[in-house]
Amino acid sequence: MSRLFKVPLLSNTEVADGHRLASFALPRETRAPQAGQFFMVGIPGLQDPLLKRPFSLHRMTDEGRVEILYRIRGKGTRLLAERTTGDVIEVLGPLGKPFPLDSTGRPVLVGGGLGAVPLVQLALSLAGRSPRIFLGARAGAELLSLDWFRKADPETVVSTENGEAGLKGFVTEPFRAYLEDSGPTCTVYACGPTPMLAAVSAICRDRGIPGYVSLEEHMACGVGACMGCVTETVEGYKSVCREGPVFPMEQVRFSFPGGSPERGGP
Amino acid sequence: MPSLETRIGELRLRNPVMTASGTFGYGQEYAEFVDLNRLGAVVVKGISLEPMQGNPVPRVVETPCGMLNAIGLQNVGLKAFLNEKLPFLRQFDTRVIVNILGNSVKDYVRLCQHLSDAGVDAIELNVSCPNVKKGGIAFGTDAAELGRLVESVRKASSVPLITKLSPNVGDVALFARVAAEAGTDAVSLINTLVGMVIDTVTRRPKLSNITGGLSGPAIRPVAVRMVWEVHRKTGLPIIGMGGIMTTEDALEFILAGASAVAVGTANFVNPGASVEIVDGLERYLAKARVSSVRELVGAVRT
Repeated sequence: MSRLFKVPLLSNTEVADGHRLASFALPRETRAPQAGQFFMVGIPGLQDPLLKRPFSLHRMTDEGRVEILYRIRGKGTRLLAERTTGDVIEVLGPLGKPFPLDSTGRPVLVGGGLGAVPLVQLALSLAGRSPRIFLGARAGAELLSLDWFRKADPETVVSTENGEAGLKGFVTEPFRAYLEDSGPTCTVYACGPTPMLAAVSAICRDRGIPGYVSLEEHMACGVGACMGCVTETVEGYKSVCREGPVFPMEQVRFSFPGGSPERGGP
Repeated sequence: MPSLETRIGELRLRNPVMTASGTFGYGQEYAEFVDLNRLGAVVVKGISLEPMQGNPVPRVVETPCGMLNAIGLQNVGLKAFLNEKLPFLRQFDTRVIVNILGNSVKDYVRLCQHLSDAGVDAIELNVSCPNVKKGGIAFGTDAAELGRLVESVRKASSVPLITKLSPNVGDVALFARVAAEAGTDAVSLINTLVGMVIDTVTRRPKLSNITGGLSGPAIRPVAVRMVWEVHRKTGLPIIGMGGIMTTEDALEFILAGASAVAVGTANFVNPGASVEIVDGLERYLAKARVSSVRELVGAVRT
């Protein structure tokens, strides 16, 4: 019944400055995680920090391990970063609604920065349907999972704001240009900073293209009980953890400080 | 085997462990993590007559050994609760206690009438939510208002009535006494303590509501003290809560005078916490050769 389990870390290695890739195995009775789902992870017995932290599934390895990719941001992730292989962590999950895979047309993935993490497993799951992938970041160093994306789409389009890698500018530009050339028979999957999601959603809405976004919010419980992590939708507030994190684009009402959705984003 | 059975006024509970309102959704959210049949009671998220949207995000922020929340009482409203949420909980062999809130005495009275008719096991009056501007808290911090509310609600309810008191007052025992004289069967102690966190980079509060309710182990000593004080001064049945994470924490509340305990924030950290505490209490009683948990209520040696 319970999906809270204690498991040893099978790896926890630095992949870039301040970024780590960790893995663990799931107990046999746990249902297989799907792209877009997440886990609440914590250090057993700790009361400070008290709450677990949400981490998206990065990738299921060939051995069936769960991989998470994270940036050290505060006390919780710093303590996780200090754990080594064999140290026990506490995990709740898999949680949340995954990306629907049975979409129409060609899958088009748009990811921004570390926010692109949930798209890695999605890209691999959709590899047989020749997805087209657009990846954006502020700088080249933030393109952490590029090799995996290239496995699913060798022609993955990269943009960086500083021009270090790929095209210079926002990821929304080549994405918009692609849609103009290829017509509306595709389904878009987007994950990244809110301004980027708002821009991608606006571009899709204007062209009548269906799509999904994966959202992030501060979470306490991860299961829809505390109502802490809501997002505004056309049907009122919905919990990101339980009713999301994946939402149909047209449902989400984007609001964020500083800037209109049409301005684009990172 | 030692007995865990306890009573809150007329309400008999299989064991003294409940879930605290607002931390367990409507039960459904945790049903795949916890066997609800093993709980003394499930106390559901506060219900108002009409659905409530709640506050904008950020609604939660972590603090040392605790968290601040300002959810703003988002809930599905009475009708959806009765039609969609209550039938699910009724499948389980546990008590269902419904936390209610309103803007006026009339709101509370109507809620109590409907919920009594629906046959819920008890009603918990929320008069202490610190996160909404109107109602609730106004009753919890004004003794005369509280007395008026409890008296009216008492007449409208045919099920046991529990008043969840605010800790954000000078003399909590005074409020407990007022509620008792007006007819409450028990009190819940404590709701969250009002707190605030400021982001020093943006110089803005970290919660959209500016202030929020502090919960978790950080508030436990305050909660234990208030339970002890109210037990000593009033002898009212008390449901103790405030940062209970383990069996030992639950025992502190019982020894201070709580007849039952509620597990709140711990659910977020470990959905199995409440059931683990049920098992832990049983082991403690057996080891200490105490035949019933009721013998420990208020048994602190001072």
